[in-house]
Amino acid sequence: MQGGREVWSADDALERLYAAHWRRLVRLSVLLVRDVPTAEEVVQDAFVAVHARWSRLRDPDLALAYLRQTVVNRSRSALRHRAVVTRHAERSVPAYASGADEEVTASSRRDAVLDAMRELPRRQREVLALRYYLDLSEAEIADTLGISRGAVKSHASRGSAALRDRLRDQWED
Amino acid sequence: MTEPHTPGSRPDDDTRLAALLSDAVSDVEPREALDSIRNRTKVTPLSARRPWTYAVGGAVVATAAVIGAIAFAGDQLGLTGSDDTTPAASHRPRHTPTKAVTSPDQNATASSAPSASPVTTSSTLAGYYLGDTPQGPRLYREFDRVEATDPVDGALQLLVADPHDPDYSTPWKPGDLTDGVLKDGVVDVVVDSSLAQRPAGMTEQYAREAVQQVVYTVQAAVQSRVPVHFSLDTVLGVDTSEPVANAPVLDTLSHVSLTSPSEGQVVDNGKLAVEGVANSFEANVVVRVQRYEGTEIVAQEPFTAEAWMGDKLFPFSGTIDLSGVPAGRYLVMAMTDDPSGGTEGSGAFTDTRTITIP
Repeated sequence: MQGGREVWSADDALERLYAAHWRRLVRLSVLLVRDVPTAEEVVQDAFVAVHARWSRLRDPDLALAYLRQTVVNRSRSALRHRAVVTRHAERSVPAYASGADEEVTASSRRDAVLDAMRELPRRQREVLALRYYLDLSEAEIADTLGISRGAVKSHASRGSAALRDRLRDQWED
Repeated sequence: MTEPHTPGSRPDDDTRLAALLSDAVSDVEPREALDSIRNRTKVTPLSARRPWTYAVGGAVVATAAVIGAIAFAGDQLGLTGSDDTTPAASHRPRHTPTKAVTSPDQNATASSAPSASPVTTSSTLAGYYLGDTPQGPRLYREFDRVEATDPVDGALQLLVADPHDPDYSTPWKPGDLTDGVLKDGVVDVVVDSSLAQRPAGMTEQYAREAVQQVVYTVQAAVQSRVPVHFSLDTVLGVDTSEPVANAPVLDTLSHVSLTSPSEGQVVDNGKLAVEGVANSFEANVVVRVQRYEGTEIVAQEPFTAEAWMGDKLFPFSGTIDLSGVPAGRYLVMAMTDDPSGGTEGSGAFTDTRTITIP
């Protein structure tokens, strides 16, 4: 299944990286910026950037690391430079079966989690998203954010405590 | 998760946090953007082909995800992704079990206090193996019978054995994973030191799945969500300096698994009983029966799983009428629902079985 590494063209790389990571990276960005259209734009920009840089990356793993980093950085810029309107209506919430209380609860729980993430300090939010959504290791998070592993640890620990605090109602199933 | 334990928080909290974050964005289905990205990279579009047509088109037969029967012993804990409580006949694994898995208590005793002359018993355990999906390598499950001194030993044996399905693979070879011991709620596993780094040609995702393969298989064997503590700080380049917990089900397993029919089953009464587990959009699962050779579809039925939200797989079942279908070999394919019809980033998960109509 994992044959020898073949050489991909920039277009091949774009297509494959897109197929494998587009949705997940948009979701990552949603955790950071809260807003789906903004997240889509951020991640599109990141894919354009990785395509342009492919001749220097030439490796799917490096490319993925670069994509992640670009998504985090651009999500940060998007927040900084734009007043992001939290548009619940923009979130592509699937049509729920009517009267499905469980789904309504799930929906409000999602909103609560996204809101709580937005209220965290930026670094904590980034560390939590990379760690708990992308399952990155401390070292990978440190590389992605350009901070020390110790800083990753402390942001993770404070962030998860803060999130737990804010989400006390959602914590237990 | 590679480092499930954050100082100052409990592993449970980490698991819950991962579940909450995953769930919070689980309904985000971004618009298709490959074409607009391509336009911006000023590349002449070579074709309108979507990348996932590799997986959901004709190739799906080749990558057919055939896994063993479901949750023979592990389901009462939801370990194998199903909430149903291991009902009888149709949940029979491909090999008749000679001995049920022992209870967790017995496991703990057997593992932590091995006798001087270990006695092996035969039991049927679930082994997880890597298989391709539209979202990259994911874990599929097979059942097999092993002669083992205890469930952890059995799990390690499965991990280093070749899966029955040629579409699956395992990166572990005999000798790679040894001396598994369940003690104090953690399973210790000794990993051959040559496996610390990720080999060239193996993707990071594959490596992470391979580590989770060990975690899921061990947990299914001992029937408890115990973390796995590897003897190396990194395994295949994945940070394993702390005990590794199971990653979220939907990020790790294939989203659909057929329990029944079993591979090679003969259907001679015109009725195909179908059972499985899935997590699919609005709980929709489509099961299709087509000629093994060629593409002619002889039956197709929609099924509804018991639920679809949440980080697990839900049971579905039903019967497909095959009366009047000519004799021959057929492929049964269960598919998750892809509401975008392949225009969004994921594409459908599939699981397949070959059956014979005499």
